[in-house]
Amino acid sequence: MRYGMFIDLDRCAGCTACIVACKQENGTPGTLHYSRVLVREVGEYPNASLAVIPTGCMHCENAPCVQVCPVGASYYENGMVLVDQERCIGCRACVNACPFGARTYNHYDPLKQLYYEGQEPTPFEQAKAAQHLKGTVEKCTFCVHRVKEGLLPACVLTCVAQARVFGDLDDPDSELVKIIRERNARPLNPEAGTVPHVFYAGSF
Amino acid sequence: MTDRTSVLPTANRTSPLGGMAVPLLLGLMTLVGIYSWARILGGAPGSVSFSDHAPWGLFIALFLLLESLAAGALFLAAIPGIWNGRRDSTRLATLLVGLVAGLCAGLAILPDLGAPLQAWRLLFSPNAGSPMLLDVWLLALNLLLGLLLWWAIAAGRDEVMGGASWLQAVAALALPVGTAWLFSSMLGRPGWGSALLVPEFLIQAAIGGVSVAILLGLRVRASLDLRPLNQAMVAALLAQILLVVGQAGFALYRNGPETIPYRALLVGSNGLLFWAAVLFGMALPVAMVWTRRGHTQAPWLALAGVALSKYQFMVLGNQYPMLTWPESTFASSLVAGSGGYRMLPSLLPTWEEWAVALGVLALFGLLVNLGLRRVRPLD
Amino acid sequence: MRLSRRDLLKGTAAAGTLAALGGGWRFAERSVFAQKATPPQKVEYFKGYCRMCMHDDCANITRVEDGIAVKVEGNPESPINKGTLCPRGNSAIISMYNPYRVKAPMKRTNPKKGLNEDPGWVEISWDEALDLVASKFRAIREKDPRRLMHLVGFGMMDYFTTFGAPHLPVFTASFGTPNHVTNNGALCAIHYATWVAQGAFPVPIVDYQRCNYHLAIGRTAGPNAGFANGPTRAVAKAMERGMRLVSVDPRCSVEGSKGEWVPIKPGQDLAFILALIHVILYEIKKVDVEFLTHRTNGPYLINAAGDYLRSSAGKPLMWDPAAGQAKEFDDPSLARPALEGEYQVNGTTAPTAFTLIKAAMRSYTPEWAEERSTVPAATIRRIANEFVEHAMIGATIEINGTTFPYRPVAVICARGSINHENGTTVDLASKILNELVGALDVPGGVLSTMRGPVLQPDADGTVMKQGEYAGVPFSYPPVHTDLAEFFPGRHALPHMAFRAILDPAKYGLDYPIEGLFVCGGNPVSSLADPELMAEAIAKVPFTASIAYHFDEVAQLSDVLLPEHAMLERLGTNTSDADFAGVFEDTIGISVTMVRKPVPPIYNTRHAHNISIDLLERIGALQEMNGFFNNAVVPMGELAAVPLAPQHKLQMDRKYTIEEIWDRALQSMHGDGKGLEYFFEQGMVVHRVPEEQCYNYFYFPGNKTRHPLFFWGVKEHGDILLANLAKHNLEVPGWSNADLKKRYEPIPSYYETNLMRAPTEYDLIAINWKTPASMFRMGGVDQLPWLHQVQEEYDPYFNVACLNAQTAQAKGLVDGDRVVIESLYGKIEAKIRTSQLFHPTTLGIAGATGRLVDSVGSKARSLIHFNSLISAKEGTFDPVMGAVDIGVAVKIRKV
Repeated sequence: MRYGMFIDLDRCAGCTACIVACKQENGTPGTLHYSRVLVREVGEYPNASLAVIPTGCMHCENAPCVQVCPVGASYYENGMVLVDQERCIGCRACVNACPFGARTYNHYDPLKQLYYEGQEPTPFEQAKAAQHLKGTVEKCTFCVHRVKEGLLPACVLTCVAQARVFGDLDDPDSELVKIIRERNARPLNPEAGTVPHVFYAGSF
Repeated sequence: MTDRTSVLPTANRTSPLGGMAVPLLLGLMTLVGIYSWARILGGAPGSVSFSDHAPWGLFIALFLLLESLAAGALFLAAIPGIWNGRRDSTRLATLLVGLVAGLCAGLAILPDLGAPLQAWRLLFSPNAGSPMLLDVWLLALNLLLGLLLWWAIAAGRDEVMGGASWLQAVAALALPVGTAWLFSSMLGRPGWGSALLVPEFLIQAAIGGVSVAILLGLRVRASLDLRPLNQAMVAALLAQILLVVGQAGFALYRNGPETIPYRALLVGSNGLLFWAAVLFGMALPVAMVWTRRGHTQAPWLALAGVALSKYQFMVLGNQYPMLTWPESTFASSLVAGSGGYRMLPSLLPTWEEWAVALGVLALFGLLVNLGLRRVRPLD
Repeated sequence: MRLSRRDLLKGTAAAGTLAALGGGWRFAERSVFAQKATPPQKVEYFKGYCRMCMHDDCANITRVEDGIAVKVEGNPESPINKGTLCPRGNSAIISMYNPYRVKAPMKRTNPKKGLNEDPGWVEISWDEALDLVASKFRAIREKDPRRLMHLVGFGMMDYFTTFGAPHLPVFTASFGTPNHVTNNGALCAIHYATWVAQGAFPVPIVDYQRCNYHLAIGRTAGPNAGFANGPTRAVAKAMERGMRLVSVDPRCSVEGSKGEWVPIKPGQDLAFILALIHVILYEIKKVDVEFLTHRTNGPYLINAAGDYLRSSAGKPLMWDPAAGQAKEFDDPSLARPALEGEYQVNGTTAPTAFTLIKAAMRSYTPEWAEERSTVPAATIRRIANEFVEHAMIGATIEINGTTFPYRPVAVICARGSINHENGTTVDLASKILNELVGALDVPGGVLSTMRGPVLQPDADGTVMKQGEYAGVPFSYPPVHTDLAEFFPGRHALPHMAFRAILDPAKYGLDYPIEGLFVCGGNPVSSLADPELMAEAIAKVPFTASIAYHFDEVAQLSDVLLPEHAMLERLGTNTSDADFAGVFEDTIGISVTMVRKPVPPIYNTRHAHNISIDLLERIGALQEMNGFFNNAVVPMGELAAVPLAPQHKLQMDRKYTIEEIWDRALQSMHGDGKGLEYFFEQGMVVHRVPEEQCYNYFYFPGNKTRHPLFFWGVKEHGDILLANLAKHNLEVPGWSNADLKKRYEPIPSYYETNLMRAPTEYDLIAINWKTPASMFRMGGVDQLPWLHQVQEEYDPYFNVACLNAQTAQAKGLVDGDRVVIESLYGKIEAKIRTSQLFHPTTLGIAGATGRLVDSVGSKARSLIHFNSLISAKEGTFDPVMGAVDIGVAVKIRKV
């Protein structure tokens, strides 16, 4: 089992629903996000356009973040790259190592970086705070807690354009493998040699 | 030998370490540093500048500075030929500074960790492939060897001293090399992605070690011939200037994305600081030693140059962090995110960070100060 | 499973020793989330639907752990949103936990009202609050019920007390006041022409299943707004199968980027559309003659006064070339009327309507349009050609045994092009464009949100006047405070209502407004002239607001009646259609959804129960119960149900909203399928056979005629002008000659205030919806999650976007702070230079910005675009009431 994802950039509307769904699902404190949507302008007026690309952890097979972790807190599981929060010492070598900017550092106590500035923590934040350890590095987990229950990752479920496909890269009959082949999808920055498990189709 | 007396300031000979005012001041600064660290640990809002764009900052720069002092000093202390006899007090003093610098380098890392209580894991990690682990082990090895060497010298165990010296010399050389590998392995920071980090770190260690030795030589004992050390310092500074010129030319002539971070360093908002380091931290000390005008102050400038360079080095890595090789993704929005593309400061330490950094430096100074008081009788 | 590097390492002897070294320290079980997190004791799921925008089509499920809502996600069972949710829908939880909510009933203690006045709120009991409000309203009702104005808006849109058959909502009807004012709409008045041409509400939509060429003029086709209810997927799929999307817009959106972007000067869409018509009529010379002849009033003969030439029986006449004489339109012997030409009838020369239209379009050449719109003439010609080519004029398609014309092209104008002073004309012109190729209400073309016999012809043979096209009867003095009598085709006139509150006599009103009951509308933040609006609300002697948060209107109120947040609110919605386009997932679908409420966290109540309680205490309960017994219960924007006999209400009993909806649901879906059933099921889905989704089906061939010549519009104008003349009146802001021009039956180009702005106002500020800043339902503009995603990932958020070359010419660079000043107001913003904007525009995204701090300083700090625009008389569209959302501005660096 090697989990992976396909993202169709021709479909992606850059709406950021994935980011908010992720925020909700994982209850990340403050302004911390596992999921991102990057945009850039291409060309010059009037022949200009807007390009969008959702990113996050690429769950690389040869992940530099796992390699540099001095305490072995980052690890591989079923093709996913995960962080053992209890073990992380918060040195942030992995944040530097990741060529996709996928990792985020959670410096503050979750209940000291609130959604509504200057207000009390919401019940939601209180409920989610215990999941996030101050002083550790977090990142996209492919919603492993959902996947274990047979659910799709939050970003995949919520994507309004259904631009994301999640599945098993080892299963040649999976929708994921088929669409990657069909659309000739490729990972970002293959030159970096990290062998990502997230594949993109469309122009980027 | 002829100029030996001229490099010895007479004032320091009578009271090279001052009275208790200096240690008290340093102790106070250390306490302020501890207080600031407590604030950081307590998660006071805005107490650190760590961000996902610039994850490493002042503490790591400080680590690098102290490490270059440690590596340089330990290396010099391990080479018997330089010194005036095996138990040369300047040698011991240099060894002492090397050990204290190494220790404080380790301390500089602690406040950088999100979970410092978990730092013990660094020594027992299962991930042997991590370059940071290699670095931690190398630092620990250097400290152990330094202590061994100290013991050998102090106890007059010459049979141990020979082997320990060699081991120490090799370990001290390996330390900056390991750190250079650690940084160059940060795939997400193209600014650090260069094998030139190895010579750069080694040269800076050389400058650091030699400068320390000269300064100690000036203060601790008059019998040491400082000329070779001065020559070594000039050589190392010239090598560093060459390295800078080389990289600058590369960054300015070659227009590829891989040169952007360095180019930004040269001409970006930190550019002035960069050129100040080159001018005052590298060129000026060379000129001072060359012309023998105020050359006793040259090592201080050289050390300041190393410190500034280490700071610049952090800026370098934090600039354009997500830049990718074929210009495929548009990472620029990360560097320049919100409310319209905005430039994020690649390094903007908070006052707490400065206080902690100064606290570590003060502790370094304090330990050296107190340590040197003990070294003198050995002479 | 493939072995990872770690596994491989573990296997080697060298690593073995290392593992041994570290092994003892390793945790037995690795965890992604911290171990401190304890599993919840109790997990509950609440099925419902979303209400974080006005579409409300998306079914969702809320997960509640130990009483705390922790996740809202799309219900995968829904064919509409298929488990997806947009960024707003994903923010519902943080909207519920918004600390700026009103948490208990409040009474004002500071009699001075103003945006900068502290109301001095004092918490009171529900009984006290309801009694206080009811006593004030009862007194008004006894004196003159017209003096109460009910202001509603998107903020509370669960189709009940605030909704009803158009202009007959339950609360106002029961109370007896004509003053039901919808705050939503003035900035999105885009409905009139679709009532006229397609007999439907609210908007024209695209048949994304079959359309091959979609020209979207100032319109979100789907992806731009990130709608989860279908159109984003529909457009993606349509483009995958080859549909071309041409986005005519001053701004290059995501849609313009994926399709083709045609930059246009804001407010000049009319020139562009008229030139397209010109090219088709005079250069391409290829039109759908069959459609124009048999399905439009193009062949109708027109007299010198511009009216239909009628028979003695009063029926419109057409020319029968075969017989050489004029015949009544429904004369069975008239097989093929003449589309073009002038004919002698009873001694007068009468051209056909089509002939007049064609003649009127002669001067609108692409070169003429280029001068105004800046769209190159060659581009206009190319688009006209592509449009006609893709229309496949003459093609047919068979769907389930019914043969339809097949016209896979669609031109649709929306807010960006219509919400201007000349919006009615723009939209009517776009209808002509579609009619020229026969693309109205047929497969592949422009459909409407309503399915069924809406194209039913009236006595003149053309689509019946319904809804906003039916008009408001004239009376003087006006009955309505919003002055609907002067604007009979109006969608919404809150801007006039509040002006009339300030100065009733100026508009001939013979009564003042003494009470204001607000339910989900906010004219201060979400309309034009914010200060004026605030002044008007402050002037009303007594204002009660059903309030979610302390917004501007709440701060100006006397009593606050706190309502549930969306997730806490029981609701039901029957969604019959998509508002942007249909495709294979959504065509023909009708979904009834019920929202099972999450237990409320504060001392709040359901808005409708508050309204019902008030009606009871006012003494209007019988009227309300009677309304439901005799009319229908609104069940959705386009759905309503009469109560089945066994579910009729007892006249003297008070029913809660829960009871009424339970009865209505059972009346709709059968006994036993009430609230409890829906709490379990979440939704019931019906599908209409596909052929019945094309309104051509109900009136095929020549059974009905779309107006091509908008005689009905002219008739509205004629009646209005005659009445004005009779009372020797003018509508404030417009001369009668001006008005006449706006009611012409053939669209023509005219100058608007925007075009006449003083030259130093050299830029045109525009505004558009973004996925994270759209409407303000659920306090969308205050929610930190949405602020965060926009601040981090949307470079166009909370900045003034300027074309890079324009910026350079003005010496501005990214990050410069500028003052933006229109004739009506000014704001400050940071400049963001971009290649994606027309050189004449200054773009400000989304519905953001507040004028009070009581919703949080963050929300207030954002740019408030609406401060720049105005609904001054004479500057808005006098037909449908659209406030111009393009405004001339000048900028200078701070």
